[in-house]
Amino acid sequence: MKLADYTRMAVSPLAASPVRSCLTMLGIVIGVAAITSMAAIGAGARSKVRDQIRTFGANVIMVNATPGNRAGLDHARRPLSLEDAGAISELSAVSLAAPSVSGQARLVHGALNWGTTVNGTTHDHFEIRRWQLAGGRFFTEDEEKSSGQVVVLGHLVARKLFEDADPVGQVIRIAGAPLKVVGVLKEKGTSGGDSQDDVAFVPMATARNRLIGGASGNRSAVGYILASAVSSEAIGEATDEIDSLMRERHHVQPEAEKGFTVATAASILAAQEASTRTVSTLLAAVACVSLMVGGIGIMNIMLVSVTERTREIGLRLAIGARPRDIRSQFVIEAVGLCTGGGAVGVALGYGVAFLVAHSAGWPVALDPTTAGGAVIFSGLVGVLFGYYPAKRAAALDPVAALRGD
Amino acid sequence: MLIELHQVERSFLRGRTMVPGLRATSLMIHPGEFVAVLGPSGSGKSTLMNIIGLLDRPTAGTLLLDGVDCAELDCNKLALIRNRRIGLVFQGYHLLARHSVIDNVELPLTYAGVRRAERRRRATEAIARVKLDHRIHHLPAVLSGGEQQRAAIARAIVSDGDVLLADEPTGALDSATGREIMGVLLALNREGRTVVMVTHDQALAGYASRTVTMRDGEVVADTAQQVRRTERREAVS
Repeated sequence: MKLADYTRMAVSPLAASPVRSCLTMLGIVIGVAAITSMAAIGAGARSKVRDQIRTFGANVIMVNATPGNRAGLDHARRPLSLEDAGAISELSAVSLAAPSVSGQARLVHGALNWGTTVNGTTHDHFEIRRWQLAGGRFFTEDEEKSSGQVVVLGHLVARKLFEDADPVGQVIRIAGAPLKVVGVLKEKGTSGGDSQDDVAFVPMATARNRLIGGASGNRSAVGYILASAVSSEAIGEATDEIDSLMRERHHVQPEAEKGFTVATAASILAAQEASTRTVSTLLAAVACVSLMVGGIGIMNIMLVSVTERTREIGLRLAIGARPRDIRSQFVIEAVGLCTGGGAVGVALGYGVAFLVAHSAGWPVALDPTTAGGAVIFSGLVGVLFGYYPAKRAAALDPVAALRGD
Repeated sequence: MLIELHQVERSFLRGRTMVPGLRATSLMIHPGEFVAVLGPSGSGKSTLMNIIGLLDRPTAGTLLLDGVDCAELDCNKLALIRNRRIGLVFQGYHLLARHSVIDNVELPLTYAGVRRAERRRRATEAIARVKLDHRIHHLPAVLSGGEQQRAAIARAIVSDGDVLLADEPTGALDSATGREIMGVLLALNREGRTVVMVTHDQALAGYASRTVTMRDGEVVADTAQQVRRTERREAVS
């Protein structure tokens, strides 16, 4: 007997009772939909982080101040300073270090204005991130030292303020202060849904003196420090050096909380992947439980079906079906229910993921492997939970089955 | 196919005691015979038919089909013989309600691994032989009792087996329809098929060339032996 014949035999009773078949599938549908939607949202979040990390740069190290927590209470974070940045740039494994402060401000040019992130930094920032110009130049060391009233615009900001005109040489106002546009960055596109072109850069001194001021009211304080290792091989060494230096400069005791983090693209990715693994394990556990529950539902209905169709089984055996033919028919029926439920669950899950992501503004990644895996796994659940009822059907005595006993 | 039963017994467990359904029965059915197994309810005639139809195994004794001892065959080999050589017709028709007449009739061929197109052709032929062409795509629910039994007979002959076993084939039909069905069985017997029919109706047994009468699980009369005895007496005189 061919698979197509078994399949035709298995599909016929399912099609004859569509409502019952749908209700039987429901456990699998809900389980698979929950898993698929969570996986799609999770994959979207992961791809966003990966995009951000990819644009971060392989050699780049980021030093951030973190709020500590002592005895359950937040204590004031110890700010990073310009001096920290200077000391980091002196380290042997570090080639460059650029302090940064940032804040939101409204940029005005003539009748047009645009609210964006204004980042006060040094020329090294562009070199560390390897950003390139579409026109003009970066600010110079002299301009950095003298709080030069110059600004480098991101591509989007330039377009919003100047539309198609060339912004280089034009003057814009930020928080009332006039600044000359000296350069426009090349378009970098979006990263995980966020535009990388919606930013303006000014010299650090300009930002501190005229626009933003230092973090925590300390005019020497900076928000974060970007550094680059001398090579990608030296990134581990550079990270260790920065960590030691910062511990020393901030007088951190060996057991005490550091109050800062030293992160690389690799370390962020590793942390992300570790948390992803945890979430994936949890998801897998939830998937197993929900599919088990769905599978038990399938087994229950299949057992009922075997009882209801005892005469049919007897007839099939009487006209020459072998026990394995009966077993295959019922296993395929259970597999059909489960894979059908799995397929509907995948579609429903992605639908839910799209709705949630759309309303919350999260990215969603549709992974065909996850979808295929979910359907195949549902089929395996069908084999597992359909086998026992199928075995019982195949073991029926033809005479007793024909009588309907 | 030559069917031989030697001292066949079949007992059933009822509670803790074994109840005999068939007692030391010996019978030989030759190819092409039309045998009626006659007896009242509980006489063991259906048990005998289940054993001849390989649906059940004897508790004791030997069943030989063409000289092969069926006790030595596993359930797959028995299923193969049922599929290829034995056609079964039941009082309750046993048609699958969700399947059309042609789908029901081609079912044995599906288990025989026959290709779909060939199945359809042979099923159509079998349906034509029982004169049910006009109902080929109808569901059993819309057929009369006689039509349903014709469909069941078509299913029993579609594999072109040489034995047809009918258990009270007219039991659920009125007498006129019953006569029609008997006509179909007689026609199939004339084509060379061995027909074994279980009935409690003396009149229906009259259609058969041989009548085996059973009572309390035993064969109490067999017209074939009476004929042989008469022939012997005539030869002696």
